[in-house]
This record gives sequence, C-alpha cells and structure tokens, in this order.
Amino acid sequence: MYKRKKIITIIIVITALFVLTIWYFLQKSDYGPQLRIKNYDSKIKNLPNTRKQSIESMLYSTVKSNNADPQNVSDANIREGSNYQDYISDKKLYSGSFIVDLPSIKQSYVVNYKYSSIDNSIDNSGYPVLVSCLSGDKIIYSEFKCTDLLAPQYIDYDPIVKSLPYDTLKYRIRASVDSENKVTLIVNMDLSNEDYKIGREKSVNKYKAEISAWIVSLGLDPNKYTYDYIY
Amino acid sequence: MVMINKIFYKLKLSILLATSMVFVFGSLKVFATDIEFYQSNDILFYSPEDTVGDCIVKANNTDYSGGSILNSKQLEQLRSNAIFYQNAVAQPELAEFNIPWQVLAAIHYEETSLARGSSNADGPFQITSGGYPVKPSYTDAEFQDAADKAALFVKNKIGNLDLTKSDNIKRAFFLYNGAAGAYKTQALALGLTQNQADNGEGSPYVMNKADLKRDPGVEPTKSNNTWGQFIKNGGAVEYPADSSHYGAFIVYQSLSGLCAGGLASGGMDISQARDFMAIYRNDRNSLNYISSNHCKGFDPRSNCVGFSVYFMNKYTTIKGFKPSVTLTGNGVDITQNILLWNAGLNIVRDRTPAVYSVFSRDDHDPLDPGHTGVILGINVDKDQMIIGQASWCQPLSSFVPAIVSLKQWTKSPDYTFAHIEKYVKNI
Repeated sequence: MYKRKKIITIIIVITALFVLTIWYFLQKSDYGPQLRIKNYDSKIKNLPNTRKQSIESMLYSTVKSNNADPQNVSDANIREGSNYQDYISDKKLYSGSFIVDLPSIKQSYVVNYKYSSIDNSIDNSGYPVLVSCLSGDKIIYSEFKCTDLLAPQYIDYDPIVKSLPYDTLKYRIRASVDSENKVTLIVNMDLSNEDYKIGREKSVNKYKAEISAWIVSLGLDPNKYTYDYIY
Repeated sequence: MVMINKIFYKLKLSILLATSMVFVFGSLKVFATDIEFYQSNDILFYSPEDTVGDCIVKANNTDYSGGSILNSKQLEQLRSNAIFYQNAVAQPELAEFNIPWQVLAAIHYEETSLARGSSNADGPFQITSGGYPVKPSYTDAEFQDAADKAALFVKNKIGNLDLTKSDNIKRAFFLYNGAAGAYKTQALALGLTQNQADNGEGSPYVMNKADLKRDPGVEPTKSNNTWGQFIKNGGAVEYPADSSHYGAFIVYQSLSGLCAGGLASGGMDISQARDFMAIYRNDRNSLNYISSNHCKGFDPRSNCVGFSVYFMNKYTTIKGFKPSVTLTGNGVDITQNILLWNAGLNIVRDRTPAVYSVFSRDDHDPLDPGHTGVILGINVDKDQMIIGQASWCQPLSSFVPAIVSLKQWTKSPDYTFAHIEKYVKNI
C-alpha cells in the first residue's frame, strides 16, 4: 500500500516536472523571435537580459526587412574593437554601441543601446535600442540596399523647416506643409506705429526683402517657396 | 527504505521550491509596474475650465485663443530693455504716479516693436515733438533718455489716473495714442459702454486681439467690418484692422504676470496615469489613431511617436499626422511637426511644460531620433511630472507612466513642448 502511494507520488512529480518544463519552453518572449549574437555575453556587460532580447529581436527584424532569412543566420558576431560603453553614474545609465557582422549573408549593422537600472527611468524610453545600417569605411562586405526599421518613419522635409520658427522684432516666420511636402512660409508681420508712418506697403516690402536675404543666407532659394504674409 | 524516504522528501522540497519560484518570478512583473511609492502622491486634478479673475491673458505670453503674444526675439529684447523702463518710471518726478514699467514696455512695442533705435526723429517711443537721433541702434544713454522722456509723456497724459486699475491702464494707452473719436464709435457699435469706449476698448492700439470680436484675423471679425484701424495717416478707418499686432493692454497684461499661469499643478495622479496607459496598451482600435509605420515584428503601439500621435488623434482636435499620408517623423521632430501640421492654429512651442502638452527630446546627435511623449500630470510642490510614453520596439507591458523632475526638465535645453492642451477633449 505504502509502495503504491509512493509510485503515484513519483508519477505526479514527474508529470508536474514535465508540465513545468513544457510551460517554460512555451513561454513566449515579449520580444518575439531573435537572432542570437554568439559573442554577446563575452562582449556586453551591465545590461539585463531584456536588453539582450531587445537587441537580438530587433536584429532579427532588421535582417528580415533586408531580404535575408534570419532563421538561417547562426554566425552573428560583435566585431572586434567596435564595442564601447559609457556610464553616467547619477542616472545609472549605460549607453553604448557595437557593430555586428553576419558573414553568411554578408551584412553588418550598428547597434546602439541605452539602459538605466533606475525603475521606470525616462532613459529607458524612446529608442532604448536601435539597429541601423552601417555606412562609410565601416562597411566590410559589398554594399547592399540596406534599410533599417526606423527609416519609413522619417520625413525628409525641406531644410528650411529646421531653421523655423524664425523671429525678429518685426516678423515671425513659420511653415506649413502639404501632402507633397511643399512648404508654405507663413509670415506674421508685427507692424508698429513707426511702420505706418513710413507707409504700410513700403514697410512690408522692406521686410519681404529682408526675408529673402535671410533665406539666401541659409543657402536656399527663396523663389521655391509659397508665402502667406499676414499683417 | 529510509533512503527512499529521504529522496522523496528532497524531491517534494524541490517541487515546492520550483513552484514557489514560478509564482515569485511570475509576480515580479506586476511589482515592477506597480510601485507602491508613487501611490502616496496627491497631484491635483486639472480643470480646463479654470480661469483667473477676468484676465484676458490666460497664461504667460498666451492670448485668449492660445496663441503666443510676443515672439522669442521680442521677449529677448524685452529682457534687455527692462532695466531702462524701470529706470525711467523711477524718476523722482514720477514717484507719486506709480507708473508700472510694463506700461512703458507695451507702448514701446506699439510704437517701434521694441527697437532700440528709430528710422525717424520721433524716437523709439514715437513722440512727435522730434529731436531724437535717427539711427537703428541707440547707445544706452540715448535709449535711457528716450525712455525717460516717454515716461514723462505718459505722466502728462494720465493726469491723476490711478494706474493700479486696469481700466485706467487702458485709458493711459488710449490717451498716448491720441484717443481718436472713431475708435470710441467703434466700441459703442460693438455694444460696449461709453465708459469702456472712453477707456480705449474700441482701439486696436489698446485692445487688438483681446477677444474674438476684436481679433481681425478670424471670422466673423475678419469680414464683418466691425473692427478697423487707421492704416494711413489722415486716412479713414480701414477694415479689418491688421491682425498680427497685439494691443498694448494685452502686451501689458502678459508682461505684468497678472494672469500668469506659469508652471501649474494639475492633470492626472500616478494611479490615473497608470489607468490611462493601460487604455493605450489595450486599445484594440489603436490603429485608427496611429501611423501604420512601426517597428516590424512588434505591435504598432511600440513606438514613442505612436503614443504621442495616438494621444493627439484620439484625445484632441488637432492633427497628429502630416496631412494625407500619416507620416510622423521621429520623436525629436514631433513638437516641430505639430506646428507644421497645424499651422493655422498658431500653436505655441516652448521650453515650459504644461499638463497635456506634448514633448520632444533632442539628444543633439543627428543619428539619435530623440524621444516624445505627453505630460499627463504636474505637481509643482513635489517637483514631479508624470509622463505618458511608449518606446520603439519594446513590449507593450513596458509602457507605464514615468515620474521625472519638473525642475530638471524645465532647465534642460533638450526638451521642447508643443502646447496642444487647449485642444484636449474627452479625457
């Protein structure tokens, strides 16, 4: 009777262990499929496992978006000498970068990461991990039409947008864009009594000429913009 | 038998430990997103209906419609001019008149847009008796002299008016500008009283852009010929009045800080912010509000830009996308892009956070896309801001509110804020 009880217990234990093992392996990572970097653990220190998962997951997706099958890549390695890490003590913030080479598909990427050990730190938000295309003399394989995951989000606005709003005592220049990225410059002219004494149109023309000169000073062509003067 | 019993005992113990570990580690995720510490705060509730007395200017440098009054260059000029205005009103012969220095500053804005020079002999304060140097840049002594004379000119105009009263300040501006009868008529036609008309309520010099019926840039005032201005010397009143320039009283009130909002507590507490972020994480309709461009392999909400855009498109009346094509730009670009997408609204972008403003962080690295999110709550006394945010290619479970230092963010050159709070609905 006693022996039978023990056998039942053994069966229950083995079943429980089996279920737990299956459950463990079926646990889906929050980060989805990942492309393992072979020498990650020996090269990258001070980061939690979730950052590693995040890096390897983003690498997987980036390789996939560059027309290669990440499931067939097993030779990803951090390039010797490409790895650096900084530490800001008051934020407990580690930030760093490295290049990862994938010889079997002749591709390389640069990885940037940030990690703060402070709970819910703002430094862990935004873009804590980025996998980007490599450029310039860092490329060791032949160039391919590389695209990173962030590229579709980027909007290539007219360069004048970076210089706006532009303020003087007499006017403020802002911009609006249409669906074709065409920029309209909105100029609010702040005319004073002095300008009315000179004559409104004369004053406005003087400021229009000033604005054209400013755009030229930026290395841009004032004639390519549409203007909306408000006064 | 004893041996078997021992093995059984150890096995039972192992299972117990293993099971406990599973539960402990399983629970850790909950604790990580549920920090007890934050539950003790007492952040006040935001009420968009709050107003301060009968102020026209709702917050520092913001007009009735949420537009900025003075631009950055004008504010910079005011800071350097202020000492001259203060010296001028402190002249011994003005002691009993208590002229606020902001009155002089507002007049200077009306007359020459705060210039430290003059293109005619009437000087920076355009006093027609003439004799001022005609040059674009006065020396400090020349400018102080002009400011002193302007302060005396104000004194002569106001007589014994008590300038602690707003109505008398308006009247002082109106008198400085000549108190044209046509503007009194204009005030009466708008339904204002004779006393208000005499105080300059109908004069664009005093009250331009004070409210909708005196804002010539928007309908119906733009077209209904009720708010006009003398454009040419000796001419008739023309309609509408010029629409970019503010009346002196609006500038004065903004500078005086009488209605200054500044940094104000309000918005959500941490518990409400957690619930709010949970809505974002669980919203099955999120794609109705955010761009389809996202981190491949992750949920479309896994993006800081996604959260800011979601907030704008779901909870405000402004556009959180580039028109037509739903492109967004990166975190660093968002506050700038909000202005581009909503150019008609004259949304203010500055370095002062406010509840429900959107922030962008610029890491000053062309390769770094920065960050963006929304200020969900502010507690000035505790030096805390509660941030709603998401992150690029990170799991939804990590999108919880963060608490940051209000002072650090306000001092930092890295953060800009787009003030969309007045367009918020349904929170």
